[in-house]
Amino acid sequence: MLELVPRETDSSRDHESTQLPPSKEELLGRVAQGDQKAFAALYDEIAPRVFGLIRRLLVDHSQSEEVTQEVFLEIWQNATRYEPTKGGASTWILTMAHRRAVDRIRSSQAGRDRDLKIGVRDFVAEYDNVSDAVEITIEHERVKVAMAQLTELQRQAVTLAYYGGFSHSEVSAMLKVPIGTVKTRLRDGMIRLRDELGVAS
Amino acid sequence: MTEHDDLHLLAGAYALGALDESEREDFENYLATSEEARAELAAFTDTAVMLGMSTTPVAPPPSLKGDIMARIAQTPQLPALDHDAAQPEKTQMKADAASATVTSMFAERGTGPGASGSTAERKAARRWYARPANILIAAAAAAVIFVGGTALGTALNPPTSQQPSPQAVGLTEISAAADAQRAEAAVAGGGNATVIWSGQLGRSAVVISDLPALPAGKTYELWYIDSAGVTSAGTFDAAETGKTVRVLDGKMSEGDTIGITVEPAGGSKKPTTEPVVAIPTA
Repeated sequence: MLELVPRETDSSRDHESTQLPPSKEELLGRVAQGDQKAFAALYDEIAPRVFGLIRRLLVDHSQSEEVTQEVFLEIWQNATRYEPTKGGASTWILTMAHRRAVDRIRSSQAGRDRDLKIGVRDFVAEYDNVSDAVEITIEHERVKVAMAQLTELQRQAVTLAYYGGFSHSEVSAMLKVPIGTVKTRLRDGMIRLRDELGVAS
Repeated sequence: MTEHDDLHLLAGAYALGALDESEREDFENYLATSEEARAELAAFTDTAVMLGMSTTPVAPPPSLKGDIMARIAQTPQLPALDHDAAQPEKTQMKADAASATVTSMFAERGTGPGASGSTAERKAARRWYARPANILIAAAAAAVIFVGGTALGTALNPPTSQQPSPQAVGLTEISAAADAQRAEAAVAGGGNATVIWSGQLGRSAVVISDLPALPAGKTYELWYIDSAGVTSAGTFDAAETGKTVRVLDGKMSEGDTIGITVEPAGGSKKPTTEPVVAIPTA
């Protein structure tokens, strides 16, 4: 029978890893100087997060690849504008990724077709199933607990908007509630999540 | 209710990406005027990112990195913003709205003590959406290069002349699965292995960087390892250049450990050496 090597064991690297690897913020700083190696290292660190989020929204694999490319090109171009004192690198990058994915949904026929096909119940149910299947990460657990504190309507509205990329008018139609209600539920929901997740306001 | 109160209500929708384009602009104009709104949005943005961080990371296809590296090598970067230089007042720019607003959101997130309400800050706040015309041109040029690059890439690689390898196709299918997951481990003897699997598909693949080539007469062999024993999942050799990609033969069950051993050429029925790497899929 084979002996299993623990996943984290990496004796070959011990002697050379006496200093911590550079943070994403440091890498972005080097990218801003035109350092392509730093860009490659940053890509390795964050690409699965970026691609995972974009694919979550777009579903379609090849479009997700395209948008991921756009996001990384944007990171390259705009790294000179990033200020580490104003927010973490992951926040900067994932906000950009979400924005780009939403833009793609809004601009593509695929997005519109998708809207017609996916009912709210299907979408939220699908979200719940995915949630159960994903690997357990600290972020995932914390968000799951925080989401459970929302009202049903808040949770559906936030889920459809963030993970579905639906606009508030689409969310309004899907949930059959007035658009003003959707706006306030999205804001109430975010306040609740912010407080539950301990994000400083 | 004043108009500002109405706009104030949009912070949640804005952070979640739920506004349409014209509302986005209205809200961004409003942000430039309100320190309080900027502070609230900063917290909502962090909150939204937590939602993003809670989704399962998915390894993009290995080819994507090469494509992106090739593209950035010929794409100019934007000049850094000179915060002290005089900025033209509010140059409206719709074309590059996405990058401008997201980028500048972080350039202007300062809510630190002593910073609020100063003239400098208000001037800075206007730069949320106001950028010098020369920067807009640079951004537009870069976008053209990008689009041109895409078109050229497609033209140079028509599907008929360069079919993707079956391994690459398999890997893409697995990583596209709704339940795709990944785990990494270092390979004894050199290299770093990533296993990507889908329990729904019952398939898995390994992607190994810097895997050393074996001497003649030896081959790498993949194994599914579970409580019942060890089953071969096929043999492979290290790629001459770049990453070694191998979709495992047979059916994988979630919870199996994926192992790799070095075996005599042609492979073995049971492993004859200790694994160089073993990665649990659970």
